[in-house]
Amino acid sequence: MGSSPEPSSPPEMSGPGCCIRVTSEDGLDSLSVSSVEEEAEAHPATPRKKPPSAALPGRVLHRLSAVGSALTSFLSAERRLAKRVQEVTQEPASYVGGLVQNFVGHVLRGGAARHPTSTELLQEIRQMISSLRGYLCESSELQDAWEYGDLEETDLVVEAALYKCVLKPLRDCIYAQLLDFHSRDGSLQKLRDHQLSMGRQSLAELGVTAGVPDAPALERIQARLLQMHQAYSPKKKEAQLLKACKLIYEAMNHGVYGADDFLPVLTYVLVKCDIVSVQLDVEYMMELLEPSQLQGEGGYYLTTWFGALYHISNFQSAMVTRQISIEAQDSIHRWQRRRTIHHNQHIPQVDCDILYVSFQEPFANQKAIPVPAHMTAASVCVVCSKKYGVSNPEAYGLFLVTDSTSRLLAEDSRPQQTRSASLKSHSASCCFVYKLKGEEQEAPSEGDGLAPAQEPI
Amino acid sequence: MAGSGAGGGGRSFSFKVVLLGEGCVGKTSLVLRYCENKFNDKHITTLQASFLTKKLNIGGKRVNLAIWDTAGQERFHALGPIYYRDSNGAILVYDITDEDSFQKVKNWVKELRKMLGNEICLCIVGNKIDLEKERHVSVQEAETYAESVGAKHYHTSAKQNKGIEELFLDLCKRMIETAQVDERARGNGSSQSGTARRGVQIIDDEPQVQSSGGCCSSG
Repeated sequence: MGSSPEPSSPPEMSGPGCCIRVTSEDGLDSLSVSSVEEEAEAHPATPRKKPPSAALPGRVLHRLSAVGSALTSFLSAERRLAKRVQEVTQEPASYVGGLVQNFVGHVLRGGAARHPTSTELLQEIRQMISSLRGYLCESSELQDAWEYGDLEETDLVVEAALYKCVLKPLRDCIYAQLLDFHSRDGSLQKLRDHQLSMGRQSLAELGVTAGVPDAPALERIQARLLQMHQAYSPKKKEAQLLKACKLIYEAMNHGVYGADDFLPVLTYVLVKCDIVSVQLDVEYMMELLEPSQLQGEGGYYLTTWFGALYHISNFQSAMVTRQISIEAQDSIHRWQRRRTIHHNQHIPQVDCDILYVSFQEPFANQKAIPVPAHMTAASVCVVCSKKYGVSNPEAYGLFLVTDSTSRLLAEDSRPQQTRSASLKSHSASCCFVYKLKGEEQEAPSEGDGLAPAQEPI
Repeated sequence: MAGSGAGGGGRSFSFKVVLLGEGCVGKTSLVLRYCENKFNDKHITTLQASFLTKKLNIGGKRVNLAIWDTAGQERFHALGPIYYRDSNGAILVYDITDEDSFQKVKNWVKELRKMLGNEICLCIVGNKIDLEKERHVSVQEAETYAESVGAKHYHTSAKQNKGIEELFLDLCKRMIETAQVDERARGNGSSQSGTARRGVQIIDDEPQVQSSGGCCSSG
């Protein structure tokens, strides 16, 4: 199940259907102000509501794609931006490209395994995506590809494009790690055991009061879950999760239901499914979706699935003692606090930007260093000397290295200002390097001239 | 989150409200009644009451309300925190004919105050006032209790559509006030909305070196 990194699209979502899907996904986030304005024009074109007649003939799809020319031009601008992000991140000599390739390579080469918990692994990846997005949205590299200048839209498109650059190559590796973490901590075994014992319970014992899906409906739900599992984009996973929710509601006998009714039926469904994959998928989405995306409908149902899985995991103790153990309560509270803290970082981070610094040569041994706007190059050097463990810090300096130049930053200069200035000046590649002083005259072309300087250390 | 709306600079707020209460107290009907004319096409789960949204305009301020329903059964009690985290408001519903459901509300209040402090606006709602004759929770007791915990009390009937608009309107006004106070308190540093929207950033794997990094060092 985990073999294909590329999600296989269902028939009704292939071809131009994708265009519509982009907007409808946005529309799911009911808190996004922009989605409100869009819904009026986006929804008259509702090919996804048509019965999915296996594979629609190409002609029909083409006609559908012509429905809204405004939409189309918007989408082509969007595609251009996404493509530009791809290009920038594939270019190893660019700042972003260097970061992405370093990072992906680092995780693939076993960097994922050195984290003590799966959460830390996923958070490192999430933070990487956020940093890259922040950087890209600010930089001049995307401006020619995106004339709209709407920050919210840019954010969304860049975020999605980064999933492709970062998560697509890493998906299988991440899943292997998650599986490993949770096999070792015993949580998956516990989940499977409880799945078995709950599978023997009657509907009444499970607290189900509404209808439950019959066998064909369950199959349809399972098909959604398989697609959810195969996708690498957390946003696409979320869309599949919502579709599964819809199928569950449909099976509940045409009423209007609240959480009292839904949660027991969801529990019933999860007990009948590949619960381990679902557990890993939910963790993947919870940690890798942009935290602000967790406030809308998708966030609500993701929370509900998390809750149902949690309920199943702790099923025995709940039934025996009539209440969840203190330990379990603790873990859920810790989780709550963590997510909350995660979220709050949106505000204060304004003055603690990260600066990526390489050692000796551009893009080598890169470290992420929190550098507030007012921090001087001298202070950054102090941090670098500790990070790289140099014994003679006075011999080193912080350099701004671009394609053809290498400039030592004055001790009292502010690296964040330097960074902003160089971003605006359209230089294709720039990198902060912590290295031995006295080399700036050499103006190395590819960093070759720096190689001998490494030896004396 | 209020953060995304209130921090954005414009006069537009996004609030999350969590709905708590025992099964059968009518929380689903209550929220459906409130949102029924505004069913939102774009929701995949249209016509379901677990998650609903509503847009309001209060004195020129646009408010996007997301209402999160929770399962009221005892067996799901432990899941509360995952739903109410980051909430701006909580609506705690009891049935005026059912004393137990009122006790349950008291438990929730205690837990919410413990977990979220005074940041969250609490509404205690006595539903089913159409069944006044069978009332088992006295108005006096309920209102006194609400006041004692810094909550506001409302009387509603989902069946007769009474008191519901007022409840939500009042709650929104309170949440706006809270968000504005919060905004002012954060005041001086938060004008750069352009950078504030960026996500969480990388903290390197050796956090001990960065103690000078201020707000980053806790990561």
